Amino acid sequence: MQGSARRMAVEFRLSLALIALIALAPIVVDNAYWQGVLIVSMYFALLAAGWNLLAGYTGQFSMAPACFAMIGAYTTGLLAYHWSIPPSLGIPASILAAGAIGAALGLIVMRLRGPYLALTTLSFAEIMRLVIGNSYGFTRGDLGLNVPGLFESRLAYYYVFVAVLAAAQAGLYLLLRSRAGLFLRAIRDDEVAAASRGVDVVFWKTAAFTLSTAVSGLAGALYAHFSQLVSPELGLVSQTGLVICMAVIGGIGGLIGPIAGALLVYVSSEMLREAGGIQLIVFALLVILIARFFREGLWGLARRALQGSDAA
Amino acid sequence: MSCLSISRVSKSFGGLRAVDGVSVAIGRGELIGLIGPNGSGKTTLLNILSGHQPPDAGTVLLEDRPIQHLKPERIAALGLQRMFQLTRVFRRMSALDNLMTAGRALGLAHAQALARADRLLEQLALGRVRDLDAGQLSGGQQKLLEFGCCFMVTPKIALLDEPFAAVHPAMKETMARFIRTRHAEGQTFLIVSHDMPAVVELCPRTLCMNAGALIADGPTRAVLNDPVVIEAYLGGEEEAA
Amino acid sequence: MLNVDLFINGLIIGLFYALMAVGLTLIFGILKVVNFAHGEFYMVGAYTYTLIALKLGLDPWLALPLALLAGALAGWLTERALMRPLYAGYSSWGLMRDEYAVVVTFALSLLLVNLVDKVVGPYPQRGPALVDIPRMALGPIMLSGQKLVATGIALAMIAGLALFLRYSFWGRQVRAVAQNRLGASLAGIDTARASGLVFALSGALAALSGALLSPIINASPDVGAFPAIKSFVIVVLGGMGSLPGSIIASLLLGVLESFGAVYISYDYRDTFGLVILMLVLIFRPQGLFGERGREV
Repeated sequence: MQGSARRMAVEFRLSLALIALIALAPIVVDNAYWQGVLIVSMYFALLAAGWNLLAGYTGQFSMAPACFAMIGAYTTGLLAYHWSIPPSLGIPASILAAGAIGAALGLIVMRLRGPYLALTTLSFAEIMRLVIGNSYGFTRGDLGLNVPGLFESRLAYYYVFVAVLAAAQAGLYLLLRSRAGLFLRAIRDDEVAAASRGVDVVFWKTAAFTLSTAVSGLAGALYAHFSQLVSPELGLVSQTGLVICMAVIGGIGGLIGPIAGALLVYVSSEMLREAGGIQLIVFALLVILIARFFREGLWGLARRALQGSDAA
Repeated sequence: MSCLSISRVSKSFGGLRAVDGVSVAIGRGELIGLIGPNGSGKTTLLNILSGHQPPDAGTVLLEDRPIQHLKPERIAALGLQRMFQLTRVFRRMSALDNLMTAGRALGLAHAQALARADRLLEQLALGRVRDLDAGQLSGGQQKLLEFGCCFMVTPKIALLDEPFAAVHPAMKETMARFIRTRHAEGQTFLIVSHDMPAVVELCPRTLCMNAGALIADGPTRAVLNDPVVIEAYLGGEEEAA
Repeated sequence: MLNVDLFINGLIIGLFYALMAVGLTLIFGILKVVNFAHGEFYMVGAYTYTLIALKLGLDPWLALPLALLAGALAGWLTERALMRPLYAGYSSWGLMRDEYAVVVTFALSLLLVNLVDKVVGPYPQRGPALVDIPRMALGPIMLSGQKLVATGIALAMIAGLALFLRYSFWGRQVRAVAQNRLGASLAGIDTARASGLVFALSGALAALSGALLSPIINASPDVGAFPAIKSFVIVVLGGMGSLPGSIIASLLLGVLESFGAVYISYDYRDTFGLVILMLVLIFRPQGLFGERGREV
C-alpha cells in the first residue's frame, strides 16, 4: 500500500476509534448538560468535516458552512412549522435544499480563488442571514422558530448524532480513497495541471461544494430537531469562524483533524465558560499560532511526534 | 488522415500578434521539433493546441476532430497530452499519486493505473522517489514526472515544451531514450526546444517560428541552415544587444 | 429637496467608507491579500478615542491623533507578527498563501473582538463629539457640526494620503512594491518595510474612521463588523488595488445605500452592497477599475 493511502487508512481508523469513544462516553458522562455539550460538539464536527473537504482537500476556502447549517435547520423547521411535515421528510429535504443551493453557489464561485472566494461566500452567507432574519412573517426572524423534537430522551439524540457522524466519516473516507480523492487533491495543488491531465475540474469542484453543503445542511437539520429552536444566529459569520478554528486547530487536510478539533474546541470552551468566558480568546490565539507556525495543526504535530519516536 | 492539423491559427494580445496565421499538418508517427527565438509564439501556440487559450481565428483538428474551442480536460481525454515549460506537478501528492491521477482521469481502473505507473517510474528511473511528495523532488525529477504523466494513457500526440531545459544530462538521456523508443512504436511528438543538438538528434522534421509566424518547415538540417531561420535568431540577438 | 439631502448624506457616508476602504485597497495592492481583521482596526480607533477622552478626561482633539497612532501601531504589529509567511521563501504555507491570510486575519479578528469584549465590556460606549455645534444649515441641507468637522478631517486625510503616495519617497516605494514586489526588492527597496508602512497606514485610517464616527456609531466590541464588510465590497467594486477606484466606489456605495434605504427597503439596506459584491465578483471580477488577472 502506498504511503499516503496507508496514512489515510490509519487516520480513518483513529477517527472511528474517537467516535467509538464518544459513543461510550455516556457511561461516564450521565449529566444531561454535558451530554448536550457533546452533541453540539458532534454538530460542529460534521460542519468541520464538511468544510475540510472543501478547504483541505479541494483548496476552496468557503466562509459559508454555518450558513448552510442554518439553511438546513430552517428547511426542516419551516416545513414542520407551516405544513406539519414530519422530520422523516424534513431532514432529507434539508439535505436536498442545502445541496442544491450549494451546487448553485459552487458553480457561481467556480473561477474564484483565495480571498475572492472567501468574500463571495461571506457575502452570500450574510445575505442569507439577513434575509431570514428580516422575513418575520415567514421565519419569525430573530424571535426564533420552534421546531418539533424527535425523541423524549436526550440519549436517543446522542446516538443519532454518533451514527450520522460515523456514517459521514466513513463516506468521506470511501470518497477520498477513490479516484475522487486523487482528483480533489490534484485540483487543490494545481488546477491548470489537473485540467491538462484530464480531470473534469468544474464537475469535481462543484461536487465537493455540493457534498460539503449537504453535510452542513444535514447537521443543521439534526441540530434543529435537537435544540427545538432555531434562529438566524446559527448562520453568523462568527459561527463559521468557530468551525474554521476547529478545523485548523485539529489539522486541515486530514481525516481526523476536524473531529478532534471540534471536540477539543467546543468541550474545552464549555469548560472555560465556567472560568469566565475567555474560550474564544484562547482559541483564536491557538489558531493564529498554529496557522503561523504549525500548518498541520495539532494532529500533524502528534503525528510528527509519533513518527519521530518510531524512527528512534 | 493527419494526426494534428493546424489551419491558419491566430492569436493576439492587445496589439501584439502572438500567433500569426500558422498552418501545419502533423502526420501520425512524426517526431517534429519546433524552434524559434524567445517571444516567437511557440508557447502560445501550444497553449492554443492544448486548450488553455482560445484562438482568435483558425482551426485545430485532432484526427479530423475540431478541438480549438474545447476545454483542456476534454482535449486531454481525446488524446492530446502536453508538458509545460515551467514544470507543473501536484506538489503535495506523491510521485505515484501524480501518475495515478493522470491515469484515472483518463479512464484507467485502479489496478491498471497502478501497474502502468510503476512501469513508468521504472522506465524513467524514478522508482526510488515513488512515495515522496512531488514537491520534494529535484527540478529534473519533477520534469521527468510530468513527462511520465503524459504517457499513462498512450496519447495520440504528445506536446513537449522545453523538456530538456535545465535538466541533468543523465535525465535528459533517459527522456531522449524514452522518446526514441515510443517513437519507434508509432508515437507522435511535437517538441519545443532551444536545445539544437537534441533537436538535430531526435527530430527528422523541424518547424521554426518567428514573431508569431511559421517561417520554416522541413527536414531539420535544411531548416537549421535556412538563411531565413538564421536571420531570425541573429536578428533577435542583435536587438537584445 | 429630499433627494439632494440623500445625495449629500450619501456622499458623506461614502467618504467615511473611503477612509476605511483605502487602507484595505493598499494592503491588497501590496500583498495581494484581504485583511479580515480590518474592522478591528476601526474598533481600536473607536475605543481608543472614546476611552481616552472619557476615562482620562483628555480633550477629544488630543484623543483623536492618539486613536490614529493606536491604529497605526495595531496595523504595524499585525504585519510584523503575522504576515511574514506571505513573502517569498517561506515554505510551509507556500502553496496556500491566500488561505493562510484568510485564516490568520480571521482568527485575529475573532481574538480582538473577544479580547475587547472581555477587558472593556460588551456595552456600547459613546464617543465625545469634537465640536458642540448643533445642526446648522449648509446650503440646502442640514448637518451637525460634528459631521461637518469629521467630514473635513476625512477629506483632508484622504487627500493627504494621495499626495503622500504620489510625491513622497516612501509613497513611491509603496507604489513600486505594489506594482512588482520582486522587481522592487531587486532594485533595493525594503519590501518588508513597505508592507509594514502600508499596514500601519491602513490601521491608522480605519482607526480614524472609528474615532470620528464614534459619537454616532458607538464603540462596541463588534462595531467593526459592518464597516469591514462595506470595505470588502468597496475594495472589490473599485478593483482590488486601485486607489482612485476604491474612492469612487466608496462614494457610489454611500449614495446607493442612502437612496436605497429610503426608496427600496430600510431593513435590507445592508444587503445592497453585498448583492453588488457578489454580482461584481461573478461578472466583472476586476471590479469597476481594476486590471484582470483573477483566474488561473
